[in-house]
Amino acid sequence: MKSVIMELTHPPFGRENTYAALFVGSASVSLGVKVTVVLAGEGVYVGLKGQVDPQGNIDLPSTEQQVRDFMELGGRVVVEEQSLSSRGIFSAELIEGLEVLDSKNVTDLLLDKGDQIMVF
Amino acid sequence: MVAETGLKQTLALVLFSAPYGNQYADHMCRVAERALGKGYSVEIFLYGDAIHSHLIEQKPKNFFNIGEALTRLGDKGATIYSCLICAIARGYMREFDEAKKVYNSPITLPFVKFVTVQGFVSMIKRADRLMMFGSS
Amino acid sequence: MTRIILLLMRLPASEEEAERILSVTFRALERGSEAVIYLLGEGVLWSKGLMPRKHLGKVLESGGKVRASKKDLLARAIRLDLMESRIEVVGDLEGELVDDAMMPSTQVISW
Repeated sequence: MKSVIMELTHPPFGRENTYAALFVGSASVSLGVKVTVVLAGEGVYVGLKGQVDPQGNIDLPSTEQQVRDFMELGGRVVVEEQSLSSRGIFSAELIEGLEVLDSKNVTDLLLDKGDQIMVF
Repeated sequence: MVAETGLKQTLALVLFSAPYGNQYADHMCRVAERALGKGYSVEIFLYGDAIHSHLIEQKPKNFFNIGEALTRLGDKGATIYSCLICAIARGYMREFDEAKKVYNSPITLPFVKFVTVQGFVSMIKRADRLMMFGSS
Repeated sequence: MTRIILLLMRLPASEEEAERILSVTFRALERGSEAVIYLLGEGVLWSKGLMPRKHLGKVLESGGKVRASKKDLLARAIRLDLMESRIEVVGDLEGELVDDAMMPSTQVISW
């Protein structure tokens, strides 16, 4: 089975990147591709739980729901610890089920599991 | 380039940004051209704003013409896909052909194939190598 | 996996991003893998102002290879005679990249 890593490096909503990546990520998992999403840099904001009705408030689909759907389909989501701490984000603020890894383990994940690596 | 299995190796290229505002489309086209020249099979996926790359009648005065570059790549055997929902969102789809069960886009370069996200995933599965352009 | 290729087509947005982009290179080299960085388009500007223990300077010190597109350097008035001598200036970087990327056991990450 092909193993794909998607590294998300932008916060949600400001650009299409996050939505587009998670859209492909969920489709890939449901079609038999092993996908790990890595949230790093500004991408860690994608991991925050508690988005309040983005569709109603800013006319954009909830990326939090996309993350939850992706994990429910069997996708793995990893958050880089240093990116969290430098932004003052606590693990308690993250969507349940996200794994926090230090940067060394994240790079090992990229090197070991990334048959194909997509940065969004 | 032929792998040990006897099949051509496939290079998949994903473009995620529109032409002219930056150089990513130029880079992608040049990499694709070299890969075709070296005998690789090339598949291109235009995703998000990159779908503007397949608009007909592009006439940049001084810039590398992306429409012409994609046409050359198509002529040389590259398969060029476009994200259907991205194209619908951006007004490229004008009619649905009931007989052929396909969308028609009279403003799109004729060799471009519109596919859903499943088409993207199929390409990921087929590709020996994948490169992203303009997505970071 | 035995080789990692980084294709850099833009400058980093921050010091944090620069370190994160290159971290996979340093880790690959630590693990005994080969790491090659391709500088294309605006990415060639990574080659300016190198310091021994930072960014591409550190990549070179650590045994990684750096290759830069000649036409993109020349277009941006980067003088080849002032370039760090261990950076390989390549006439057809896109072609070399394809050959390299299609080698077995190779990963490609582009920025």
